Amino acid sequence: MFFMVTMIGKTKSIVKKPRVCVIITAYHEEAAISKVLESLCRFSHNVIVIDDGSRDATAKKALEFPVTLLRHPINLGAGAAMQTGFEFATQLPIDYVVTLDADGQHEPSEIPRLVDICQKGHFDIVLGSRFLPGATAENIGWFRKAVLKLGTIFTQVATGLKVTDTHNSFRVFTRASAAKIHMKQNRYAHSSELLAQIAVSKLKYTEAPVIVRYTEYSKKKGQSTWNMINILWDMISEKIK
Amino acid sequence: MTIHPSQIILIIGLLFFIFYLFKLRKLIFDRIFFLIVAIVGLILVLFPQLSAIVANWLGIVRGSDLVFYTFIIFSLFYFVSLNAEIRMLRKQITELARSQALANPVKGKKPKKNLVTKL
Repeated sequence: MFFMVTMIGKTKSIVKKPRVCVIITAYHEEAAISKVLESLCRFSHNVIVIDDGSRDATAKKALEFPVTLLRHPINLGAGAAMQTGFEFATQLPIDYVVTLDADGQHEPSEIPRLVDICQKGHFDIVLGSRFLPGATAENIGWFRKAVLKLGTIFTQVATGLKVTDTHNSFRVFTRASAAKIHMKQNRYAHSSELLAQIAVSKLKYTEAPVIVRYTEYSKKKGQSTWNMINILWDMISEKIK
Repeated sequence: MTIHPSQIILIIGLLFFIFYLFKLRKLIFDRIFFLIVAIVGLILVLFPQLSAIVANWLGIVRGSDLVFYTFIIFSLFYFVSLNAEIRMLRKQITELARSQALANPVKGKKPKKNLVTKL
């Protein structure tokens, strides 16, 4: 009997519920952040909003939800905001860090599935992809799709990672792997830099199909397709001493 | 296609510029470089005919052309030097802003019970 109780105890400890923290970076997102946080707070106790120097009501709207808000005094860029989030989250007693966009293009209900993939596969990182079979990229324009594919080929060559979608910020990290990320690129090239660091640190990664919904709002708010040129410029200038 | 001696020098100068960008660039080298350029400029002001003599050696028609080419290369170095300074300042600002954000986390409204779906 005692043996059985011990076994049950052990089984329970093996299937421990993962402690998940979600990082959401926002800049001038007063129109969309409430809707995103409302949905997000259903899937995590631990939501960290990084307000990247917004001058609108983004911070005020975020504080209407059970979140932790960190505010950059000035706008630094999405890469810098994400790095601030990582530095804060990795000090917390958590198992996984999830990142997603504040403009509503990602689906928070997919978080448990991605965390499950990370946990069961013992991966360090799960990268969301809008181009894998089973993924959805709603309302994506052909030009954006073509440029994203081109960017993916470029990153594949530069980093050696076999990924299908390099500029998708829906990702899951274990706490240990998030602590290994030190992004220096504040703005455009942070996604490529993050993948380069995954390659250098030899972190175990996989991709999972996710839904990405392009709305008129997210298209307006998100990076312009022409920003690929900025990304390339940032990547080259980072190499200069 | 015949390559002129001045073209070789310009190509070497530009190749050195690329090497300098990625491998050599440090503040002390910048200062030494700017000092050399300033001294050369001073000599050319005092002895303007020198530029014509050097230009003739290199096969460039006019002394003013030589000064113009040199100015372009010098400007490239200066542009990179300034760019590096700006990037260094930006990095410091980022660290400062980040430390301020990390030191002042603000809690939002308390969660309503049973709101969170268990993972």
